[in-house]
Amino acid sequence: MTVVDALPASSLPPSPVGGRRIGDRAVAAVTKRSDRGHTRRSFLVRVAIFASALVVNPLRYILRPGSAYASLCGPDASCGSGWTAFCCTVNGGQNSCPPGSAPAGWWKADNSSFCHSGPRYYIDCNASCGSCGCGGSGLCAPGCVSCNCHCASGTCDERFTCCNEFRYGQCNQQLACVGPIVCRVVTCVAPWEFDATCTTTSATANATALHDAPCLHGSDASVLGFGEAADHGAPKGLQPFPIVGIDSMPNGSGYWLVAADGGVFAFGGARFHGSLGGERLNRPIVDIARSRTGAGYWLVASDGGIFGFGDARFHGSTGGIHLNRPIAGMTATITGKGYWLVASDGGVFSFGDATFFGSMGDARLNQPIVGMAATITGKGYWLVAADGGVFAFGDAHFEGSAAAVRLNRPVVGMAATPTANGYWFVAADGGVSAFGDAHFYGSATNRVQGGTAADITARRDGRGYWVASDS
Amino acid sequence: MTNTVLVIESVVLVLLTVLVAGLLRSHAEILRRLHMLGAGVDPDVPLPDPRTRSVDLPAHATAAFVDAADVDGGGLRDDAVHVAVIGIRHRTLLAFLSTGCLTCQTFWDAFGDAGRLGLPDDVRLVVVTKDAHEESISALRSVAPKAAAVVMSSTAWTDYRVPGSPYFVLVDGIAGRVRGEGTGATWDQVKNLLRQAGDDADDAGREVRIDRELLAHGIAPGDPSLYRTAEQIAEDARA
Amino acid sequence: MNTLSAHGLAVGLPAGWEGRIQRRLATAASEQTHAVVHLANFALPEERDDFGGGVTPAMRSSDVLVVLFEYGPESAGSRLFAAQGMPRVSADMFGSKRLQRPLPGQLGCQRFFTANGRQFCLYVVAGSRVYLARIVAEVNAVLADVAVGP
Repeated sequence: MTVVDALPASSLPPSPVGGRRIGDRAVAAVTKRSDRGHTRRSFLVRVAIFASALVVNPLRYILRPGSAYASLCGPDASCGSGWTAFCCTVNGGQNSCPPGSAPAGWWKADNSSFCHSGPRYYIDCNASCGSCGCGGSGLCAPGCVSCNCHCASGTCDERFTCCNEFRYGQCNQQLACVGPIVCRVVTCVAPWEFDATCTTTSATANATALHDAPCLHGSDASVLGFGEAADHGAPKGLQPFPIVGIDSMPNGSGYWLVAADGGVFAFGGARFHGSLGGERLNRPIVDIARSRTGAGYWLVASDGGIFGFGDARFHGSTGGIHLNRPIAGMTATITGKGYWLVASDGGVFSFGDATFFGSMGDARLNQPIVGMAATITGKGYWLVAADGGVFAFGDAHFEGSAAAVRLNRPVVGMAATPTANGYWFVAADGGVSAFGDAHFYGSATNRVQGGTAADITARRDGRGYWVASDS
Repeated sequence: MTNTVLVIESVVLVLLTVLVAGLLRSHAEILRRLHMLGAGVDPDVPLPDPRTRSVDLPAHATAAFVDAADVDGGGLRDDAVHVAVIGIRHRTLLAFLSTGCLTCQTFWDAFGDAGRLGLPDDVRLVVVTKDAHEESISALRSVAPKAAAVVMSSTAWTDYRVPGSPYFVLVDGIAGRVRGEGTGATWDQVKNLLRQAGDDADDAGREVRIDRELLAHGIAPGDPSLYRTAEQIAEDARA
Repeated sequence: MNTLSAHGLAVGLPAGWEGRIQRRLATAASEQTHAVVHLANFALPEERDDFGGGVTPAMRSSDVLVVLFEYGPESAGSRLFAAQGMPRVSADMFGSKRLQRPLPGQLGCQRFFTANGRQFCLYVVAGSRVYLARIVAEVNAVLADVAVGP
């Protein structure tokens, strides 16, 4: 997040009293002072901070004394405020639970301007506390955890980390005990869709509605090609919504990316056929699948709503039925006249000429299903879970899984080889695992550092793959 | 043709006359009821000082204060509410309002901006309406202030013998007694009532303190020494 | 003793205490809301977050806030809610960091439990350690008068 990194901590104003105002004065003054040590970069950074403050919190910025930078973190951002820091502040920019912690509960703030006037969700990541007991409190003693109470640093989000011994209690209820809150993830996506261990029982804390951190705003999307998968480009500049899916042209000449708001980005030989960007969606988009010809594509939302573009025809959806768990992925049949959807609980829904070959809907899964891929024959498919567990149906062969391996980050997507005898999957840290006749062409682990991989798609001939990520 | 127009005009005139008469009658009824509530608008009668109007405070306040009661009822969102009014450290201003009364609208509007109410720090505002079967919840939701408790409780109207709305009762939480009650047409008038109730409560407190001091010196109520004239006191001094 | 009841819960309140039993409206698809009880020995503000946001910053040293937050039936049988029956609190359960939002002087404690087949979190915020013994006694007296219906 260049805006934050470029601003040294020492440049923070010491006090809101007499704070800089009128465009932080810096923006106006910089033209006079640009020859006295202010670089063009610092000018741009300051302008960006000023603009961000106006966008994120205009009333507070205009009406209260203080710097633009401080208003990026909202109220109660100091160490002594009692609130917990955002995960992206303490987790290398990633808006996710850091290693050694797990979601333990959530709350929401209603009518949030950060989420199109909808609810904004906060998920507490509590430290793991090993084998310590905790009575009925749900919280183990601080001595049982490896993190110590301190204040976050480096940005204006100086709130607590590992201090608050509190548990909202809706997530990971199988854990009798957790440690203090390390940080909080913030999202416009409902927690039970964000993390399958969270229940739908809501708690409200509107006092936190304006809490913020610079690292929460915008991300750079990137696409990394491996093997013979050529780089065709990626969206330029900060993207307000994360990339959630990628699919490629049949001949590998290009690919599409889709963001959670339904925005579609076409690169190389892939043509743009329309998107949902700018439209108000009931639920976020979670995946994209191209039509047989590549002259169209479907987008699927977490409620199973299907949106077809180009020659991708609508064959049905689960948008009108109640799902136990949200849809996590989709894949189309070889004919392009049907598709399958998979929910995070392993339930599979087939439409058009897609045949149902089985599901994990009735099984108790250790981790939620995060993606699926169909065999080249269209007579089978694989499902992959967040822990790397693979489930094969129809003529899809089981070629191994990572369920027995402790992954650093959860699996987020999968792609199949053209033989029905192999597949790849990618973890959130960009790590790629290859099974069966799938050849390993490289991993994105080092190249999505500080970011989160979102999905993987492979060339039709199996000679390479692309990994889409946010950073 | 001319006759037809004349007939139509006459009919319209009669109808308008009946309508105006009805409106005047209705207006008179409203004025009468306002007058009964102490908020009359007769231009020939100067408005009484709000400090002296409608505040039902007897001379010996401590003896005549009636018992107060906590307020139990429902909230506006399918919730149960119990508001402590007695046995607490602060005073409570119970505002008995309804959505149907026109004068109440002034108060609903005023309560919407809690920062401008100018209530003393130790006074908490609680709005009390009648129960859901006598009051429109949807109408209440549209006018209810966010910052003040709104309780739907017909029982509280009975407990405090509320004659109509708007009506205000100030309760001293420590003593558990009503310190003042009455009505007004505007929030400023009610604030003046509050101030007067506070002053009277201070007076009552001063009386109690004086009685206690006199008793400590062996002078009980009715003691002849309390009724001596200036001349008698001067004679005593000369002697 | 005043009794407050709604949403299958009944609470007896001692003199000077006040309370609310509410259930928020769901604002999102699939979201569930359940009963939330707020009890206090001071005037509860109207704009309250479920776990005391908007309330605790104004608490004085002798004040106490009791929250009973109910979870959905999907939580039944989980390890977090293994404890059965309405809990009691003791002074050693309270800590200055055991709070949703630690504020100077305040202490908090949490208990997850199942009562009559319903899952709850009890959360108590005490204004200060000076009054903790009295607060614990008062809270236990209130909890003893909480009835949970099926």
